[in-house]
Amino acid sequence: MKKKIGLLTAALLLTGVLSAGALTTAKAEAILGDLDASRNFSNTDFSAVMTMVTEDPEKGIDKIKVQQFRRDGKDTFLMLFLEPESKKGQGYLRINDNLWFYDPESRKFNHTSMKDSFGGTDAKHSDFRISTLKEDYNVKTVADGKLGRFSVYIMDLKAKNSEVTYPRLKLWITREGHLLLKAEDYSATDRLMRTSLFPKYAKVKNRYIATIMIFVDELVKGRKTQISIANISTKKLPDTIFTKSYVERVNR
Amino acid sequence: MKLYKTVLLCLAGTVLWAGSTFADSINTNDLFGSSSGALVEEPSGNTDKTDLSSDLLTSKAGVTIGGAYHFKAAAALKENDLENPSFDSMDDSFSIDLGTTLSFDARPDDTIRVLGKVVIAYPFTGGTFSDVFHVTELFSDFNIDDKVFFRAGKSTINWGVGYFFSPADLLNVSKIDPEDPDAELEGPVSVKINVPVGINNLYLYVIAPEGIISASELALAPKAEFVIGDSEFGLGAYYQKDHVPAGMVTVTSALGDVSLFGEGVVTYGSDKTFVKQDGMSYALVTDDDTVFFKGTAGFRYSWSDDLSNFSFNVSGQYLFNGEGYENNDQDFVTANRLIIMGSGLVSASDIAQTGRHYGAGNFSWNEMFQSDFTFSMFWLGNLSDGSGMMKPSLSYTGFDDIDISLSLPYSYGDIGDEYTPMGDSVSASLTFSLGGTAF
Repeated sequence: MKKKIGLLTAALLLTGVLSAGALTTAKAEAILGDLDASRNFSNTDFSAVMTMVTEDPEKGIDKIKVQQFRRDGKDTFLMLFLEPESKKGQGYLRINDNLWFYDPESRKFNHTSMKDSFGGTDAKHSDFRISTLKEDYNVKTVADGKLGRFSVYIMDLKAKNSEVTYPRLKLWITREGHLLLKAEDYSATDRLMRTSLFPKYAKVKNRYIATIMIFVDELVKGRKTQISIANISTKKLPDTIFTKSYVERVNR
Repeated sequence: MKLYKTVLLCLAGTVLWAGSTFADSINTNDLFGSSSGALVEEPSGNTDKTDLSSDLLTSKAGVTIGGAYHFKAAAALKENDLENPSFDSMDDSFSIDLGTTLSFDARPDDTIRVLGKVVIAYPFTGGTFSDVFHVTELFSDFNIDDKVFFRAGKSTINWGVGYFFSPADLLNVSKIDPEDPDAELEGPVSVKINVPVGINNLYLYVIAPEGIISASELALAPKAEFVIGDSEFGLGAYYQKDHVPAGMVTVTSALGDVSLFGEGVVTYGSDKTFVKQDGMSYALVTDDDTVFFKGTAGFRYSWSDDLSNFSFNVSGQYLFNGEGYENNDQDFVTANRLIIMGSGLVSASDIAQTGRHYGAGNFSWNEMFQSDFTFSMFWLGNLSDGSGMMKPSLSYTGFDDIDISLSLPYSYGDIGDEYTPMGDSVSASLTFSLGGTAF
């Protein structure tokens, strides 16, 4: 009898997982594909100015201004620090699997890791590159839910490879339009590391760019980074932007 | 009963806390509720026409003035007699490192810029301009059709990839100080021609040595940088009439999260003056027809736990120095180092790096337990003569604009060894950095 109840419970749970969101895993993965496609500028270049304000209970408020250039079609980006003065001229250049950090003091380029935090903020380098959720993660569960006034799918994702920054993600995606509103990022030990919120988007050339992003550090109470994006441009960039030469030239 | 209730309340609190996140402190109704406005907005401005890339290459505000200021005061006590230490035998010293770097950056249009940088350092005395003011960089950047890029003037050259040692850095006037490996190096007067080819780069440097009076004295240094997979390779050469020609190779890569780098340099002959035993005395000799090799390899790694209680940076490097002395020659130099140094017949660079094998490393524990304290341990060693130095430091950055550092450098080795010409010693040094900033 106990065995039958156990089986029934498992069956109900399984049914709940698959039916509560009224989505099959395949459809959920298709939504991830839509999400990637709507966030990536695979046919055009993208540039913008990002203002990153980090609040830390110990260190106070830190503001960073960064110029961002992206060429998602070639998985390439350039991030240049405009403020503060102490970081001005520093830059990250990513081309394919190579990421260089440029230090204007020593005038040297150093290879660095994509998993590092970006400029001491709660953002990671992977937050600014091409979105590859469908390629990097499997959908484990999906359910219906509400976030504020939005009806959402709540998806639990598990990484397919060890190259990603976080092995497990939990996403809140609008049912209508498939926009990412919230993400929880978990470590390999299933510890919640970071919560990300995306309350504002701009629609540019049928793509969606989060113009406000809030990254909450779930390990240090009170620490969070808010990123605002302005001066959005999709004008084609010269090829020379994504070269060491350009990074050296813009440095002051 | 009271204890039972307290435990129950604690357990209940723990269960409630376990289900909450720090993000819950942000009201999602404010962010995503009915009063939050439209989720999707139109971007301001014309997104098709704005060209931010050229904005960075021009200066709407005219010439930009910037720089950095530093003021460090250090008090130190040094004990040379480690077998019988006493306050009476200690040497005390006090030093001031005061200076500023001033720079200007002019960009009349997006095709050209001029940058100049001058260092003004204490003491501000001396009879000549260069005693107080030192021009470290003065160059212009320009290009031909955004395809060929030039940098002409005096500038730091990005040539080697080593961190503590960089034998492949054949061009800069100053060399890396292993104790301050991130410091800016001073470059020569040169013209750099750069042609990017996709992800790869071709360079040609034409270098004017100091005091040049003939075009035949110009040095040429071509270099190619190319990427294969997630590794970057560099191949370069250096040629100057009446100087030893050199070829070099560099590589940077990564193994997981560990950054790796390596250099190899081959020269035909050496610019160094060597000391050779000559009976009871010594002779100074040069070598123009021996192939010398120098090679180095190292790594850099950063790690932090989830809470940033343990945030570590580790770096290490080995150097093989083919110009170093070995066997009896090494023993002779060790026994006579003070005499050779005092003779004035050889330069400081001739009597530096006299060993064949070197190592350097640094370990730092940054902001220990999320505090304002950072611990570091630096090591530099001549593995051939067994001398070296270790420098543990503890620094505090809890005050705005004031940094305090306590270090205990320990030099070990025998008298005459490279890092202990006067014998081993230990010091205690307290340094205050006051009001340093970039502007």
